[in-house]
Amino acid sequence: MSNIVLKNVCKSYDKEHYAVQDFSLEIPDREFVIFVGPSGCGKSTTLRMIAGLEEITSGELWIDGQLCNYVEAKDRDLSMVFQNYALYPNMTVYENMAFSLKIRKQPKDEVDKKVHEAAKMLGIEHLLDRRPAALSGGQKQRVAIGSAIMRRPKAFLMDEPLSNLDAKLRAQMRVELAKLHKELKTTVIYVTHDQTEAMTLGTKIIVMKDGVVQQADTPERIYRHPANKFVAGFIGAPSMNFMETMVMERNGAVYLEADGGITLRVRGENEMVLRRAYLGKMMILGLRPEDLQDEITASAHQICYEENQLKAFVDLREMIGAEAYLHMNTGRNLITARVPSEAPVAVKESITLYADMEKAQIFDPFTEENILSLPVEKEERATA
Amino acid sequence: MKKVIEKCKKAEVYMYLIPSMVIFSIFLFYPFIKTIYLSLYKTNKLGEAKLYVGLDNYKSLLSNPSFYNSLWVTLEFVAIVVVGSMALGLLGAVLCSKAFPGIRVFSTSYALPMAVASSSGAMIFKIILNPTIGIVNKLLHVSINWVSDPKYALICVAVLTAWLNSGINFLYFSAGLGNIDDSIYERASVDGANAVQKFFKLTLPGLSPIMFYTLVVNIIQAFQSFGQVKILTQGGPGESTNLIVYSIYRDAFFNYRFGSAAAQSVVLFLIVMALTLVMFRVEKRGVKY
Repeated sequence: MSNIVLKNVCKSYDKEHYAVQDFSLEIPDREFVIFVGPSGCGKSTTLRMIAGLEEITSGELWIDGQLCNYVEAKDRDLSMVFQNYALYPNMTVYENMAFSLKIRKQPKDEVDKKVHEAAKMLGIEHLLDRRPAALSGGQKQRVAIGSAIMRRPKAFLMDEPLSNLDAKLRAQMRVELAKLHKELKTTVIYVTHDQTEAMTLGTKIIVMKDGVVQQADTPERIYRHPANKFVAGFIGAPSMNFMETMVMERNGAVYLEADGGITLRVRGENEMVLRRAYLGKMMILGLRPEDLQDEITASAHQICYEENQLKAFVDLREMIGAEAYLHMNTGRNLITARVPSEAPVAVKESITLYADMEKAQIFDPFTEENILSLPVEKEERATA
Repeated sequence: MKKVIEKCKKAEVYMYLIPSMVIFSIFLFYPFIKTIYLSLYKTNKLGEAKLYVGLDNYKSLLSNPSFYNSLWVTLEFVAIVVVGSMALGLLGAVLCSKAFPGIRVFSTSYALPMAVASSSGAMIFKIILNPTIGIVNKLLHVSINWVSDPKYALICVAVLTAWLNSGINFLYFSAGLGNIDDSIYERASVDGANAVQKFFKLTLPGLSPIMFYTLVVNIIQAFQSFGQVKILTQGGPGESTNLIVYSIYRDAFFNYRFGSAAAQSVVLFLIVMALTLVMFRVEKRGVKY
């Protein structure tokens, strides 16, 4: 059991600039938490503060009800996997894995049993006598994970453990990590800059930028209801399309008008909020590539209306496999759509697409916040 | 014609080696061969070989208790110096491996002995160890005549030499510590290791490649110590600090027995070479990666 709480944790190296600012988070037991963000956003720093490798400038860190700001790393009972694996070069794989138990003076036969169990689980039994220098990247990675799971720590901390692996191995290890989390039933705190890893592994994702938490939520909600334009653009590949639009009301319905003669009717909750506070204002419309659909897909989803139709000029068709990415322009805006690869598309010609406006996100151009994520009071104040 | 050009090109390669070979020959190869040659002769006072005596110089050396004393004293001396200077260097390097304010002052002072000439070091020690005005006696509230007492003289010279040699060891070990990846210490911290465990399980093994090299250099260097003995004790009291190099010097330039001195030089050379060869053999077992 473990319960990790961070309260207004800050990290500053020069007392002027904050690497991490006001980080508050409660991590219940068995959660797979992902810190994700571009490089330099403070995600690794936060992890290292939890591990005890960096001092906390201000704020509190509680592990299992104990204030841990000044507890030494060795006494926090956590285990960590490093980006460069940090294997002890002078020890064999066996000694590497046994290290954390040996220094705790556990009986030899017990250590031996645990090492073999973990090695079997990770498929590295045949490597036990080798030294790290004689291992490939993937094998090193397994040894690092193996060493981490020897104990049953309060939480596993992983600092970009897959970023040194090639794409195929990374995908494979991703699946194994997810399995491992299920088997070990322990909290995992995982740092990555790769949004695919974040989406596939996490039960909770913390998106960070410039040391500030942008959104902390489940992968589904982060994807479908990004709190602001940064989260919307960072999560999802290819990333979300953004268009500057003007909010208009016509015949009782709310429309967004964008450059290139695009007029889209707003639906769902967005319509209500826009009507209340934003008529006649500039807003940013965000549409995921898969929510821009070709005619066949759109009619299957029954969204083929004239009021959510848009025309764009196809610059490039990128074939991925089952689907293809269309890179297009609508005059000023460059947009990307994700369509089935069998959809008939002529490059360097105009195409008609249908936007799934139910899933559209609308952002305030100044604060870049999602208009739906604004607190209710704020909305009411705006209406009044 | 082509062949001539090719031959010239081959000769060119050797031309580049000539300057260093000339210097080596004058200062290394010639004296070395001349020493072996001299060790087989009786010489006059100018050091000219006069009478071929074969191995007689060696025979009289091996039947001379003073020579065995020299050997024994040298071994004791080398043991103290090597252990002492390596421990000092390692301690300094470990202390200076962390960044803290004023680190440069500390690392400079730990490396400083390297820049101190052995004779000036000996002069400093002579004052420090002076029985009436020396700071050591004042601090310890004793009145020991350090360099004139056969019990302490060798230790004094050895400690001085250890300190003099520790500077370069500090540099070697600092470089070695810099080569150890910081993240393994971080992992060890999270794994639950304390500072002592980290030192013995990570730092020492991590230094093992450079440790071996330093050991070889230190042993050779210790065998060749001369200046500090010359200034501090002149081989005495009695023969208690008569290291083999000093004994060679004495035989050659006080007693004008160049043949005997040359024979001792050859013996010293054989001992150092044998030790070095043995150590290179053992290296593979000591160095872990």
